[in-house]
This record gives sequence, C-alpha cells and structure tokens, in this order.
Amino acid sequence: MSSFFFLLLTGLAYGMVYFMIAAGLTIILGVMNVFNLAHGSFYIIAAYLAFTLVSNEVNFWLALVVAVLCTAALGILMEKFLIKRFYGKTLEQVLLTFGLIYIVSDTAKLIWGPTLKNLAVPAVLNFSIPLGNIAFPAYRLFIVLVGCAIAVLLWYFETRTRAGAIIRAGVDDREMVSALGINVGRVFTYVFAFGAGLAAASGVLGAPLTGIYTGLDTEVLVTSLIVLVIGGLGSWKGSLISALIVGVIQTVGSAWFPSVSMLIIFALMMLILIIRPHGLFGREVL
Amino acid sequence: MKRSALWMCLMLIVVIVLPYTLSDFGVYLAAEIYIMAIFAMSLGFIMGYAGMVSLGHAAFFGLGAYTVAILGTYVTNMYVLILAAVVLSGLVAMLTGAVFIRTSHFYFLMITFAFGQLLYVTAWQLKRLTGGADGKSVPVEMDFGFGPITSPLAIYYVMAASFVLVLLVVRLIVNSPAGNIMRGIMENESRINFLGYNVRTYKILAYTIAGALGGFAGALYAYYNAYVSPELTHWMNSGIAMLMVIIGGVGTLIGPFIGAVVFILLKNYISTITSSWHLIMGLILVTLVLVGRGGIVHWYAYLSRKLSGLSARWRASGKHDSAEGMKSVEHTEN
Amino acid sequence: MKHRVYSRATSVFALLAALILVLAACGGGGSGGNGGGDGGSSPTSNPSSSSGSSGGTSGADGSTESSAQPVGTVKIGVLMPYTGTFAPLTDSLVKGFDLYLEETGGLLGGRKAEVQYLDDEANPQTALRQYRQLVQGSKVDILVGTISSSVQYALRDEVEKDKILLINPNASASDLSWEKKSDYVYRVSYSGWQQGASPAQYLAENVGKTAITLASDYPAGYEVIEAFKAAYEAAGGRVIEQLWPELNTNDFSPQLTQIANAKPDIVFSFLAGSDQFRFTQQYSEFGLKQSIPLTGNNNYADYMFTSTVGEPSAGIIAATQYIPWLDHEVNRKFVENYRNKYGTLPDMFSEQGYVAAMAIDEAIRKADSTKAEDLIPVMKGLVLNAPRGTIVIDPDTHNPVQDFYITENVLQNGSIVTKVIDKMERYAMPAQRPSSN
Repeated sequence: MSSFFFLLLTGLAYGMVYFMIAAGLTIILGVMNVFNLAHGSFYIIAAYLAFTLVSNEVNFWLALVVAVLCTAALGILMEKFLIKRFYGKTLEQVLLTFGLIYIVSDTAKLIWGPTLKNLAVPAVLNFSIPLGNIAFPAYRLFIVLVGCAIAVLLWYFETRTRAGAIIRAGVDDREMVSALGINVGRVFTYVFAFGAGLAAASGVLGAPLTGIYTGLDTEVLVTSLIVLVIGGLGSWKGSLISALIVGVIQTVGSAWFPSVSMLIIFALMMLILIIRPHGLFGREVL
Repeated sequence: MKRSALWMCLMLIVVIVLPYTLSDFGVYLAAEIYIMAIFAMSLGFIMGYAGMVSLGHAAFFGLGAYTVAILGTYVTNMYVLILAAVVLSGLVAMLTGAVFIRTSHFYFLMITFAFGQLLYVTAWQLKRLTGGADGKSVPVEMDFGFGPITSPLAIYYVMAASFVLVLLVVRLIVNSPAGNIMRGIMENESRINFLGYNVRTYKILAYTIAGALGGFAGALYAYYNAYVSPELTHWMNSGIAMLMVIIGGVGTLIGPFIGAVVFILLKNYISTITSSWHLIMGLILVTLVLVGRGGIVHWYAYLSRKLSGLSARWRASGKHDSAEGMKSVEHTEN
Repeated sequence: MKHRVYSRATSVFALLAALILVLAACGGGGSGGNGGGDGGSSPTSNPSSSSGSSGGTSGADGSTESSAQPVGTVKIGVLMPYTGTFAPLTDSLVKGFDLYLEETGGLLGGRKAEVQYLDDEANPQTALRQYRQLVQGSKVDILVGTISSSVQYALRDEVEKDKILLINPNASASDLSWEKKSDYVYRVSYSGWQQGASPAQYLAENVGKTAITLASDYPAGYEVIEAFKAAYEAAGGRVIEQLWPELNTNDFSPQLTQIANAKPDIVFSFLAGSDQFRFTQQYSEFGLKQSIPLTGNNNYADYMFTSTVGEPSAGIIAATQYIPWLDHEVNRKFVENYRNKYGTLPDMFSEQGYVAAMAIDEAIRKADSTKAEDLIPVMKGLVLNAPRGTIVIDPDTHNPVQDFYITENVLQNGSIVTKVIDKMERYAMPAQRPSSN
C-alpha cells in the first residue's frame, strides 16, 4: 500500500478523532455562543472517571455510559449555577471557565495523581487489520464510525429537532422566543448538558488513543477551537470538514514538513479569521 | 489636582524606600511585580478604557522578550534593544489590530487567542532562532551606559521607575482628548461615530499603544529573568494578565497593579504550602466573577461609599430631622 | 463591570498596595525560612502529595548507622517540577529521596535535615525565582534539582555565582559534564551520552546491523541519538534513517509508515513523556512489533513506563542502570522498604532520588561539614553503594561511573517484568565531548 495513501487514510481517521473531540464545543460554543474554555475539563473528567471505573473491573461500555451521564449532570449544574447569569456576557464566560480549567485540572491531579493514566482499548476492538507491511488498528476504524454517528446526531439535532431551532432563535432573540411560550432557560440547560455529554463521550473514547495526562485538557481545548474556527461556528458540517482537513494536514505535514506542521494549522486558522471570520461553513453572523 | 499630586508623591516615597525594608528575595519579587504590573496595565488599558478584550495579549509580551533575547546576540546597547522591542510590538499590534478590530467582541477574543497561539507555536518550532521548547538565555545585561546593572537593588529601581513612567503615560493618555474618545467608544460606539470621529483609528491607536507597552514589559522581563521561553506567549499567560486586571478592577488605572501584586504574592505564598495554587486561583476567580462587583478597587470604592454614607447618616440623625439628614447624605456621596 | 472609579480611591489604593507589598513580601521573605524548615522532612512544606515521612521517626531498617545525637542542622532545598509534564518523575524522585531520609531518621551526614520542596514548573523563569527564594530567603546549604536540562543550565550559572552545591538527580544533558561542567554541580543519575551509547554495541552485535532512530525533536533527543549513532556505527552497525517527531505528537502513523517501508533491522527510540507511551502502543497496534524489534534508552526498561503501558512494551530491548529486579542486597532492601511505604515498586526515578539523598549523606559525613568548599573535593570520586550497584562520581565529568544492564521486557502473568540479558560494566562517559565526524 502506497505510503501516501496510507498517510491519507490515517490522516482522515485522525481527523475524525478531532471532529469527535470538537463536537461538544460545536454545540456549546458554536450553537449557544457560550465561550466555554472548560470544554477540555469535561473531556478529562469523563476520561478519568472511566479510568477509575475500568480499573475496578467495570466493563468499558458501561463505564462510558456512566461517565457521560455524570459529566452531563455536572454540565447541568454548571449551567444552572454558573453560566445562566452570563449569557451574552463574553468576558464573564471567559473568566469563569478559565477559572474552572484551573480548578478541574488541579482537582484531577489531587485525586488521580500526576502520572499518565492508560485507559485500555476495549478487548473486543483490540486487534489490527493487516494492510501490506503495516496494519491498521481496528479501534481507529471504530472511532471513524463513532465520528459518523456523531455527525448524523448533530445534523439531526440542528435541522430536525425543535431544540436546535429554538437555540438558534434563542441566541439571536431570547425575549421573542420566550414570548412564544417556550421555556428558553430549560432548553439552554439541556443543550448545554448535551454538549457536555458529547465532550464526555469523546473523552472516554479518545483516552485510549492519547493516554490521560496533565495538560490534556488545554490541548483538547485548543484543538477544538481550531476545528471550530476553521469550520465555522454553529455548523456541524463545518466542524466535520475542517476536522478532516486539520487531521490530514497534521499527519501528512508531520511526515513531509515536521518542523512546521503545527504552524501551518495556526496560520490557516488566522487566515480564516481574517478573510472569512465565520469560517468555511458558518453562519454570517456576529 | 493638587491632592492627586500629593498621593503621587507619597507613592513615590514608598516605592523608593520599600527595598530597604525587604530581603534580597523580596526585592527581586517586587521588581517582578512591577514588570507584571506594566503588562497587566497594558491589557487593562484596552480592556477598561477602550472596551477590547484580548485573549492573546501575551503575544506582545513574548515578542518584546524574544526581541531582546535574539537581537541581544548581535547588539548589546540596551536603548537600542528596548526600542526595538517596543517598536516591533507596537508595529505588530498596529498591523494585526487593523485586521482584528473589524470583528465583534466574540471574534476578537478568538482571533487574538489564535494569534497568541500562532506566536507560541512559532517560538516553539523555530528552534534555531528561539531555542524551541527549551527557551533561550538572554545574552545581555541592563546597562544605561554606566556599567552593567546586576544588583537586586539596582534592578528594582529600574523596574520601579519603568512602572511609574508607564503609569504616568497611561494616565496621561486616558485623560487626554484621545483617551476620552476611546472611553466614549467603549460606552457608546455609534454615538462617537455620529459625532464624526473615526472609531476605527482610535481603536487601532489604543491597541497599538497596548501592544507597545506589552512589548516593553516583555523586554524588561528578558533583562530581569535572563531567560525566555515560549510559555511567555501562551494564551494562558494572557489569561493571567486578564486575571490581574479583573482582580484589581477593570477600568481603573491602578487596578492592574494591585491585581499583579495580589496574584504574584498569592502565587508565591501558596506554592510554598501546596502545589495546588491553580485550584485556589481558580476558586478566587470564579468567586470574583460570581459576586460581580468588580475587583479590589471597586470593592474599596463600594465599601468606602457605604461607610461614608453610614457616617453621614449618623451625623445627620443626631442634629436634623430625617429630610435634612437625607440631603446631607446626598452631598457626601460623590 | 463598567465602573470607572478612580482618582481618590486610586491614589489611596496605591498606598495600600505598597503596604501590602511590604507586609506580604516581608512575610514572603520570612516564610521562606519558616514555612520550610520546621524540623525533619517537614510534611507541611512538602508539596508532594505522597510523602508521609515525618521527621524523626526511628529509621526503620536503618541500613546506615543513625547517630542518636544530631550534630547541628543542614538545610536542603529541593527544586523540582511538581507541575507540568514532568510531575510524575518528580513524584517518584521525591518519594525515593524521602525514603532515604526516613531510613536515616531524618539525618544527613549526622545532621538534622531541614528540607524545603519548591516547584520549578520545568520552567527556567520560575526556577530562578524559586532558586532565589531558597538561596536568599531560606539560605539553604545544599540544593537538589532538577529534571529538565534547560532549567539545569539556568541553575548551573546561578550556583556558580552564589557558590552553592547542587546535586543533580536527573537532568541528563551531556553538556553538564563537558562545556557546562561546574565544580558546584554533581550528577547522580546518568548522562544523555550514556543513555545513547550504552545499548549500541550489544544491539549491533546481537540484534541487528541496520537501524532507524526515532527521537523527540529537542536537544535531549539530539544528544542521545548522536551518542547512539557513534557507538552503533563503531560496533559495525549503520543508521539508515533518523526520524524526529515533534514533542507532544499524538499520532505516529507517518513515522510508522516510513519505518514499515524502510524495513530496518531495529528501531532505536528516545521519546519524552506521553510520546513514549503513545508511540509504543501504536508501534504494536500498527503491527510493527512482530517484524522489527523495538529498542530504546533506559526509559524503555523503566518500571514507570512498563507498568503503565503493559503488554505493548513486551519484547523491547534497552540498556538501563536500574530496574527494581536487580539482584543486589542494597537493592532488595530498598525495594522492600519502598514497597512497604508506598505500595508499589520503585522506578528508576525513585532510585535516583534515593541516591541523591545518599550522596549528600555520604559527602557531609566524609567532609564533616556542610559548606560547599569542603564538600566539593569529597564529591569528586565519591563512592556510593546505591541500589543500582556501586557507583563512583567521576571527578572528570561529575557524572556516575556505573554498570549498565542490557535488558528485555518480558510478559509474565499478565504484567511486565524486565530481565537482564547482558551487562556493560563500569560504563563511564568520556571526559571530553567526542569530536563529531
């Protein structure tokens, strides 16, 4: 198998990982316009929870469900007590969630310690598919499928459900939407929890690939922000496409221009922000 | 005006006398606080007086620091190096500001974040130039032309003088006609526009000044610490500057300085007890935002208003009837 | 948030702030002394979450004679990255250090040890600040630190100026033994040169004659690979390609593809932190483990790594100075005490921390002084009965002359045990930087 083709394949697969990681932020930042810097914190909370559960002989999939539910619940609490008062107030959101990053990261270190934690790939997926003189791990293929499922989920949410429409309308004109008799506050809470849950799911599923370590939360945040900015806020399609682009650039770039692969991505991000601030597929707003 | 001049004199005296009451370590710490105060002030300037919130201000700090570190291998003249740092940062601020300022608050935050990270990754990846992730030692020492400045006391005075200088400069700008216009823009942009002022130009001007001052702080830091590394430009460092401004009080002149004092002292003190100072800092920040009455300066003003209100009412109640008492209360509250 | 209250409030605040400065900085300068040294290995001043060693416990299985009456005190400053990517290494290292102190009843060289632990965040900026606190604030006699070589360079210049003895328990930059050697800095771990060169001969003669090297793109990586390449090629091997992934690479598939296509006899790797973990996993996932033996520096044999990664690390051949399964009397006792205290096997960082304390203990005892100028002549040529074996601090390089073991990771009953298959005895690094060809 030609190495370029293999690189492309792994790049796309890795792009799907990025999409999965950014999905939660796509909802909270992209749709609700909440500047949630603590996105990575949701990610690692779920990952660490799953790790503890799995270390205590809990089945991986069960751990996944529990971790997602717990994190979503945390999301509800966070929205109710912290975010609710500050819709539309970007500076406060930034500061609040910045503080949360610190709090969660240190608390995690106190509970789980500073050493890298390994969340094992679930046994049923722990094999590789031979392709010539190299093999492709099945787990990565699984992630691609998960990414597709998330894409479908987001598409459905955005275009088919009322919640998606309500959010978009509510962000633009909250009073109007309330006047229609809709409990905007409750919808916001649930959608926020949905975003947190997505972040949690990607945390548990992504952990076997990266390991769980200090600094993972901010890495996840930066990655997600890049994907969102390039793809455009509020567009699941944009997130998907930009994630794939970033994945391919990183992988191919790492092989061909290793010393500047990260630079290319940030330069691309800047370029988009300058020329087309709403991203490749974002709404023409703000 | 005379009164504030008096306070200024008092502050100057404290600044001059302070190092003699501190240990060597305390003097070093104080010098660092002055540098960080300049950095925080530069951010506080655009945040509090021009209404622009940037999550990438550390980029200018890093630019200034790296300029000194990198150019320092070729040029040793301190005036040249600092000038280069300030001019370069100001220039970059002007150019990027021209592009960024078109965007809304939300996007401004994101694009400044992206820019800060871009510089971070650049510093990280251009290893030959910047030393990469390991950073670079600064090959020059401060020297006004009378010999190298190496003692903690001397370094302290240089930083203290720089701080006072920047404070005066910012005060001047804020109180100038241009400064008034900037504040006007923050309060009601369309009105200022309507009055015929080119809003964009003023915003870019503010951003340029902030960038130049940030670069100045960075240059000073390079001399102070003798070492620079990519973390200086990281967005979390920008966040820390924001933290300092918030703790001290947005929209105040001295707030950022107070924020810098509190932050650095707290960090220092807490890290001798526990390595979880991030946790404590985070809790403080979240509490501050939730309580929502601004930073320390605002709290002081709030409390002093409350107190003077109380004392006036107390004075009034003993002598006049309640109507008169209320009048005198209104007079004492400024 | 848009209050704009200044003028009077502002000016008063300037005064208040200055007062805060005075008070807290005085306190800060003082707390450096108070917050740190309250007897023994003060748990209050210890930011490490692990250590429960209270000063003055009767030194358990005291392998050294614990003098009943301490003769004065010695102030030690431990400067390590408690936060950041190196935090796990610090965790282990300090555990080892504290264990030694517990064994001697809180004494070093017969004197009561007052230890202060500060976080340098693997950042030269922070390190210098903390250094000043230790040296000018707390007035420590001896410094122990650190993990990161770039911080070590910064510290090295300062201790030269201030004439303080610095025991280096980890920073591996070979330069610290060559161009940046200092009379005040002594290493008790190993150098990058030793890491790279020690496995080379065995690999060239027994495993494979062509190699692809893969190392993180930063100075430590360059050093190790350079040393490896020279020794490997001197022993008849040939490095056909060098790969340099960036630090914090998540996905090694590009490199793995290149390796699979080039088909070398072996892969020699040196990666930092979580990169090593991910690479090893992916090496196995991408099917390379079956065909091309993976080899590496001492980290690949280290317990911290093998116990975390597990099965993917089986079969890796490395050269290391320490594994907990070494069959020495001193090591067996060390492992037992460590396991009793912390509930886990020690890794090489634990042993390094232990030996750092041991070095201080021996040096002070031999010189009968805590002053740098008395300790320096003793440090040169100091002999230590470390858990890893007998080591000698080379007077030419200030680096240990020690045995390196060629090892292989073996999967046994579900976990990885590292076994010794050969030995490089009394392995020293050259006194000068070898001229590069």
